[in-house]
Amino acid sequence: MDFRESYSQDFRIFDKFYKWGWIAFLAAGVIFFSQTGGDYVAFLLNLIFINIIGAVGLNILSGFTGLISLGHAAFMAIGAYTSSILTAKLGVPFWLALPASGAVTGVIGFIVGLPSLRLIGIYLALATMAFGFITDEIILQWKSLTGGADGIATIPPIMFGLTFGSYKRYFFITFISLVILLFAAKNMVRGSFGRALMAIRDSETAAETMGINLGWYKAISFTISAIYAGLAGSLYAHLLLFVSVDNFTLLHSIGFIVMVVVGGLGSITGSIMGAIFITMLPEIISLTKDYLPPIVRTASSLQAAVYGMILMLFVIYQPLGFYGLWVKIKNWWKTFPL
Amino acid sequence: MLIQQIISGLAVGCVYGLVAVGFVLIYKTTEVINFAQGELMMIGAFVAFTLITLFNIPYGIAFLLTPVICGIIGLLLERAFIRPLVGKPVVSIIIVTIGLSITLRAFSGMIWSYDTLYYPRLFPDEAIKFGSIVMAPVDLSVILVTLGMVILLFLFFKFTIRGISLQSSAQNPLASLLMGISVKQVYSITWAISAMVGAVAGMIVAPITFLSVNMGFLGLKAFPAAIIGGFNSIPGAIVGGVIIGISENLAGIYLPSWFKDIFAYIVMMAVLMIRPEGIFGIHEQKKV
Repeated sequence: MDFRESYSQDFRIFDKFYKWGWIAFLAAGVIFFSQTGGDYVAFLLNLIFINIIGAVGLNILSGFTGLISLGHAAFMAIGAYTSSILTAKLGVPFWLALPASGAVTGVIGFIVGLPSLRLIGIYLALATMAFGFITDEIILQWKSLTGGADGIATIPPIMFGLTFGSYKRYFFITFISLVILLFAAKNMVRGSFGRALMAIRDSETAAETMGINLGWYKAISFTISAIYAGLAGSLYAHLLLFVSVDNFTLLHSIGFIVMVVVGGLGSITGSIMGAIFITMLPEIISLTKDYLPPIVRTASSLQAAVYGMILMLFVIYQPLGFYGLWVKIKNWWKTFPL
Repeated sequence: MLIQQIISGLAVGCVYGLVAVGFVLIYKTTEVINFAQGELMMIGAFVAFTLITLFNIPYGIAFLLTPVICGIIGLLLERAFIRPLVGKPVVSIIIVTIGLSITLRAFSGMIWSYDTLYYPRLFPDEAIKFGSIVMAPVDLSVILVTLGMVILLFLFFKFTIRGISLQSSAQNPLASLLMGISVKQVYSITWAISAMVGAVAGMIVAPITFLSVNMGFLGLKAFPAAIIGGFNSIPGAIVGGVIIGISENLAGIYLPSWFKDIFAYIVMMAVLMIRPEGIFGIHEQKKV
C-alpha cells in the first residue's frame, strides 16, 4: 500500500504523476473517436460531457456538502433559456452568453441556497423540488420572453468566424468547457474550500466549532452547483438548438441524482463514471433488448423500470457507487496474491 | 360561488391530507420521507379497480379487501428495500424511496397500461342540496371516509398496545428498544399502515379525478400539505391538506388561472421560510 508522507503529496491533483499521461491519452482517444465515429457518436459524446458537468455540479452540493437538491433541472433550464434568449433574440455572441448564463444561474442558486441554513435535509429537498415546479411554471407563463409551451429555438454558436453547427464541431466547445470545469472542480475540492464543505457534510456542529461559516459555505456551495448546472444547460440548449420545459422536469433532476449516486457521492471521478453510464443506459438497454422476453421488451416503461431498480440496488448494495467498486478492484489487484 | 369552491376544495384537500398522513406516519417513526407514497395510492386504486372489474367482487368488499392487499405490499416493500438500510444516512433511504416510486410507476404501467381508465362509480351524479349549497355525493363520501380514517388512526395510536409502541419508538427508539419493542416490527407495521392509508386515499380519489398510472404525481401535492401541517402531526397533515385544497381552488378564481397548479408550492415555500416546523409541528432540537 502507498502512504502519503507530506502535505504537498496530499494536495496533488493526481496522487501519481503518470496519471497525467493517462488523462492525455484518454483525451486524445476521445477526440479521435468523436471526429471519426460518425454524427451519432459525436452527439452522444456531447451529451455525456454535458451530463458530466451537471453531475459534477450536483456532486459538489450533494456529495461534498451533503445538501440534497431536487431542483437541479430547473437551474439547467434557467441556464438554457438565458443562453437561448441572449444569443437568438439579443444577438449576444456565444462566448459571452455561456458565462452569462452561468452567472445568472449562480445568482439564482445563491438566493435559493440562502434558506439552506435553516432547512435541514428533507425540508431542503422539498424546497428545491418546489423551486423546480415554480421555475417550470414561470417559464411556461412568461410567453413573451420564453415562448411558453412552444419552447425556444436558438442558433448554433459562432466563434472565430466558424459556425459550430455540426455535432463534430460542437464537440470541441463542450470538450474544452468540460476540461476547464473538471479542473476547477478538482481544485476546489482538494483545497481548504472543499475540506470545509466535507466538514459540513460530516458534522455541521463540529464544522461550526472549528470556525467554518455554515451559512456562507452552504450558500456558496449552492451557487457553484447552480453555475455548473447553468453552464450545462447553456451547452445543452446549443447542442439541441431547441429546448422546452419538457427537457427540464423533476425526472431530469432525479436523473442527475441517479448519476451522482451511481457514480459515487463525493467523488469527481465517480460523477464522470455515473454520467457516462446513465447517458449510455438507453443504448445499453436497446442492445440487450433482443435477449429479453417479448413482454418485457415491448413495455414502454422498460427504461424507467431499469432506472429505478438501478438507483435502489446501488444505494442498498453499492452505496459508494462505481467509484467505490473501482477502488475495491484496484486494492484487490494491488494485494493480488494475498 | 365562494362556499361552493371551498367545499369542492375540501374534498380534494382531504385526499391530499390522507396521502400526507402516509408521509407523516413514516416520518414520525423513521425520519424518512417516503417519495413513493403517491405510488402506493395509485396501486391502491388499481388493485381496487382490478378486484371490482376483473374479479367481479362487490364494491363494499373490495373497499375492505384492497387495504389488506396493499398493507401486505407495503410490508414486502419495506422488507425488501428499506430494511437493509436501517441505520444508514437518511438521505440514502430517501433516494431509495425515489427509486421505488419510479420503479413502482414503471411496473404498474407494464401491468395496467398507461391509458386513463374509467373507475366504476358507486354514487349517483345528482348533487345533494343543503340549502343553497350543492354538493356531489362523491365529494361527501371523500370527506366522510377521511374523517373515518382519522378517527381509526387516532383510536389505534391511543388505545392499542401496537399503536402506543409505535409512538414510543418514534419518540425514543433506544428506550423503547430496551422496553422490549422490536424496532424492526415497528418499521414494518408503519409501512403497512402507510400503504393502507394510501390505498384508501387511492380508492376515494379515483372516482373524482381519473385512474391512471400517473395519478401518483398527485402525491407530490401532498408534500406541501405535510409541511404546512407539520411533518410530525397526523391531524396537522389533514388540516394542511384541507388548507392546500381550498387555497388552491381559491387561487384558481382570484388569481390568474395558472396559479392553481403551483399555488401549493408557493404556500409551502412561504411556510418553510417562516415556520419550517409547520402549524402543528414541534420544533426539535438535535443533540450533538
